[in-house]
Amino acid sequence: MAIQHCVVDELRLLFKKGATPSRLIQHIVSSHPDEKDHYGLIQEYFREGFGVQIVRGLSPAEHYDDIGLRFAYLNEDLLHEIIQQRAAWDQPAQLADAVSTSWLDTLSAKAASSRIQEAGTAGFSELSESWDHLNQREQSAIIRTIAGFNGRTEMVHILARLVEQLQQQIVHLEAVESHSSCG
Amino acid sequence: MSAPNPNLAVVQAQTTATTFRAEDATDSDFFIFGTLGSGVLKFEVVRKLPSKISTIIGQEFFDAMVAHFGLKNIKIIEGSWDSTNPQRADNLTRFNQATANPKIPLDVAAIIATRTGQWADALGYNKATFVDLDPPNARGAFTKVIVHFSM
Repeated sequence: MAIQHCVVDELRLLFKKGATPSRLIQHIVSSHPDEKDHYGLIQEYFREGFGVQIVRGLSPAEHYDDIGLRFAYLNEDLLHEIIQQRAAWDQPAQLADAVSTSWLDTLSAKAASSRIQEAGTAGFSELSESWDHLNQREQSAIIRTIAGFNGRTEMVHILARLVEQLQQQIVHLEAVESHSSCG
Repeated sequence: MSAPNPNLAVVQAQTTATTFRAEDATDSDFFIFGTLGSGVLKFEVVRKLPSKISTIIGQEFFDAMVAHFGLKNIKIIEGSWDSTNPQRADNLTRFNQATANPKIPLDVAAIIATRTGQWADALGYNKATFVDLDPPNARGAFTKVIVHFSM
């Protein structure tokens, strides 16, 4: 099983244009029509293409035809992680002919461990009088909750930008279709 | 340690210094896939599906993966469980059953009630640190849990 660097570049470009993980998976599968081990391919491409350590929830028996909404969970699992890793995979030199701006440009995504560290060091002014009276387990629960909230806020921003990106593509396609039908 | 299960087949094409994949030679729907990055072991194992069960128990898959990476290279064993795929919610179900009891601390529940926690504990990774819990205060009804087991 050998991944192709041109496919890696295509995947990155597709993602920058708004392709979701399920669409990326379909592109991987269609790029290797003779490969039977889709599970292995997908893991390798996401690792090589986006620095994703593991894609969970896939079945080796899956063929990825007519997938409907059943892989929607991958958006939840992977979008944030892919954006976390953007500096590693979205280097201008590698994508010289790629789109110059994308829906990703204003987004921020931090690893959960980084968010926890930040929440812990930032402190909570509203809790300054009571913080030292909390035991470590209680402090950890508050820090983890804040870090989790911050992560979900990042996720909302990611999904909001992606939804708008996809809406704009629909608008574009509708305009093309409308123009064609009048012609 | 007992002899390896003869049905446990390592998938060489996806087994490197940082990845490991093995499957049940009698049914490749059952498998383990793990990756090791910066000392954090992330993995997924499937040994039971609604209509069938593997000839390999989960811990046999897990032990083979740990042996491949080498215990000394593993700083953290990550458990990542969520409710998006009910067929693979075994650890989450067990965690929720345990945490429904308010007297059981969350970290204790992660170690004693879940398969991953038990396997990690058996190797000495008996400290559970939660990285994510969602909803944050939903004992017995968490939908997403990420926990790090360390020594």
